[in-house]
Amino acid sequence: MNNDPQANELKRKRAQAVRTAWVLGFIAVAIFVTFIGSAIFGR
Amino acid sequence: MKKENTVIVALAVLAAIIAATWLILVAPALSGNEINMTRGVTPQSADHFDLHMIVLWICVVIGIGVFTVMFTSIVLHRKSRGHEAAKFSHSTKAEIIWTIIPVLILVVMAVPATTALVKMEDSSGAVMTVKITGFQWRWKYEYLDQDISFISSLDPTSNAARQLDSGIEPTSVDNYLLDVDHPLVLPIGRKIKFLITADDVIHSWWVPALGWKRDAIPGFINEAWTNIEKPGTYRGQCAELCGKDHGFMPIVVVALSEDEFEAWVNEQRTGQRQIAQRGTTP
Amino acid sequence: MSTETTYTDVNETHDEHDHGDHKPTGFLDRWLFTTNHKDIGTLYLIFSLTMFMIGGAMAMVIRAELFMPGLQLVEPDFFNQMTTMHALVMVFGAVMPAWVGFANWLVPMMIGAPDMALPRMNNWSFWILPFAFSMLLSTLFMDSGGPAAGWTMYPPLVLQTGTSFAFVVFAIHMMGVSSIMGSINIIATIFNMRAPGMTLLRMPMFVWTWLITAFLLIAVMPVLAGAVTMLLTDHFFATNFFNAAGGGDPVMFQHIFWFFGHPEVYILILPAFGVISEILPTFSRKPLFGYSSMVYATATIAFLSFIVWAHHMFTVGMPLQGELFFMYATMLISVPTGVKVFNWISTMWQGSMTFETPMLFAIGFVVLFTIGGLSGLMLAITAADFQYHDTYFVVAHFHYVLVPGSIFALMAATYYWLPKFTGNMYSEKWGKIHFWLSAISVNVLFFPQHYLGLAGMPRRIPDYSPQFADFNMISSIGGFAFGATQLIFVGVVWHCVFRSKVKATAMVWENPRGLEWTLESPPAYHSFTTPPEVTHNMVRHAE
Repeated sequence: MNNDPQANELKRKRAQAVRTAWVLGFIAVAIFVTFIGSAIFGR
Repeated sequence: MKKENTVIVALAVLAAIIAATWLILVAPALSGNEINMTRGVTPQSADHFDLHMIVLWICVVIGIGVFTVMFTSIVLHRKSRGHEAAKFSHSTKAEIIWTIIPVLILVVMAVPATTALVKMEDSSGAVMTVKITGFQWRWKYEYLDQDISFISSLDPTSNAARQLDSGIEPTSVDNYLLDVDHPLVLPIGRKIKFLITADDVIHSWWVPALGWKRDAIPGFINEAWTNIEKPGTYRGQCAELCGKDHGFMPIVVVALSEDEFEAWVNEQRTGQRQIAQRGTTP
Repeated sequence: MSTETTYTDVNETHDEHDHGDHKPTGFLDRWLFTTNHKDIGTLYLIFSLTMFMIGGAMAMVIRAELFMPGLQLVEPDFFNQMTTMHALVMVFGAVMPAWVGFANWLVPMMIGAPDMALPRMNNWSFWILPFAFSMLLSTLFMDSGGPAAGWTMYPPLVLQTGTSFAFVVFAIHMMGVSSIMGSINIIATIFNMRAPGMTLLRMPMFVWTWLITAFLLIAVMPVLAGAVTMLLTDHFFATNFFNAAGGGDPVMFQHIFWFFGHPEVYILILPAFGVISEILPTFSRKPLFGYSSMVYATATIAFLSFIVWAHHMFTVGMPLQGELFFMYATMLISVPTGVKVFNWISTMWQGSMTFETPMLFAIGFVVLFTIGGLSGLMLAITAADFQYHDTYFVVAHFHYVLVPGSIFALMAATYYWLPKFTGNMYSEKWGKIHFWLSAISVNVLFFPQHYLGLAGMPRRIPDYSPQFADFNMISSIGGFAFGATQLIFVGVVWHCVFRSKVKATAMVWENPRGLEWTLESPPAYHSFTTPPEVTHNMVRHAE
């Protein structure tokens, strides 16, 4: 059974998942900053 | 034959569910305990009560319908009865029907709901104004037109009884936790505007018989109004957590006829003038 | 820390011979440093069960004090600490971690993935929690006691909190970070790690509901973090966000808090909806009715949950147009929720039902959650809400949707999947006893609270006028019974894990659908190291 393509596939999926995670983390921080910012600047 | 069976079982289930509904929604009142909202003594309280009853009835009917179908299924469609599972798994028609019908029911509910809210918000045309201020843990009432003001606190008998390990039975105190030293005295038949605020934290002024509550927020003034139709004594409580004695700052409204109210006003003014002359604050 | 045991990708090939059952030796390696989704799921579940008992104990204090009029047991300030902490512990310590625990165990298996996308972050997401809750619970022993302003923490009252204040804020920040990281992990896993053939519209409902819940969490937990940070700076750094005297607005906190708070309650319930959609089809021996409608309804509920927040604030003095908008939007949520209930009942209809314990809890959920939903519809009507707000009617509503709602779904999930996780069957007899005692006592506990609220009893008071005595006593008796009954649950779980001699098959139940049932019971430590082939007949949805 040739598992290398499978392992590469898994690696590719993992890398993609890490990218997804970074994007989502950025969104979370952006929401936090927006809310605090709007409370400060929206006075 | 199977269809008949379903209908018969469904009717039996329906009867059982209606009986259960009666048992939980009507029977407890027979114990002498209050289980429903008060109709109150103002046009708003009556509106809100009627709205509540409409919505309650709609919810009861929906509940009875849903549970009848469900329990009929539980009785009939069971493996132990040898019922074989059907294969269907979707129906666009059904999805459309049970989306549209609930929307229609909501529209029906929204009409009286909107009317009641619009009426509540219109405090124009008031002939007297009372300013209510929430403190930790008492209320202050100021009659802006009659130049009267005083603080209203939990009645001392209740206050003594409510202490931890007081040894005093709450049932031995009249209107336990719902009595104050200086009630808010108001005339019946007059549109009265309230200006509601607070001095420290958020409180909320609530007398169920008047039909509404409004938050008392420090630094802001909320408006509300009432028009009391019947003389009597009406009791309420603070309705926003405000610290350790949140449960111990009740509200008492005494509604008097016009003449009795005027007499009370004069009495208060004389009393306050005397106190002012003596140089002490009330 | 030994790297081989946590290295789950390329070097796994040799594991096929021993089913990938390389559990780490050594207690710390296995539990403190784990990156395995099954072990992390177990940690979350044990943690949440512990917090459920602690939160439950606080509820017992509350119901004991409210058993009779008069103050018999605790001072009013401590009573307020109990109500505050009870809610914080139950919401953030019991229900949310429990759902994350089930997500961790089930999502990878259900989509044919070997583990979560980010296993190390997964570990951190969990281990933050015991630290955060130790800090939170420790505040009860501080000189000025724990937080006592309600779990809603409204200013200015919350700013009167003593020493515990900073610790509470810090604990909430940590719980938020844990949730956000967990949600990122779930979304990244579902989007990227599905086995070939597992298209989105073939995923089990539990995965769908968690996918949507994870988006809700990422959207609103930062908002809560913002809100409590502003409280922190108002308290310590002389800002005036919520201080009118300084140009601020206490009501703005309520807007910010409830913008988090309303989606939060859907976060607590959507995974429950997913579980019910898994269990009813299995025990009805019929596919889930209207799978795609269920997905769309869930997404609709999630979307609507963002635009209804001010229904928690109807008495605050909002302009008329605002009140009307929030009333209509709130009423609208009942439509997709109703669609879900009707689809569940249609799943049962013409099925071939049996009533094992998971099915009992699922049916109990549908009935009792519906009651909670209907009282929610009543609360949506603003003018009527002027009489319901801040009374026991509200307490009754949210406890119905949370206890015979979320908690019953959690119990259903436990009974349904514990045989899969452990390889042992639980005691069906004691499971049924647990169900019936819970179902009866939960109604004795919470139904009379509807009457109390309508009759005029406010919330968050330690003592009350004698006219409220009878129903308070009944409610308290229900509370003690419900609390005691949960000890049976702990016993059933403990027995299943450690003592049960009856082994579970891979399928456990009669022909359930879903990839997790193709694995043995218990599944290998590392399952689906080779992605499974996903064919149409392995998934439930015949559409």
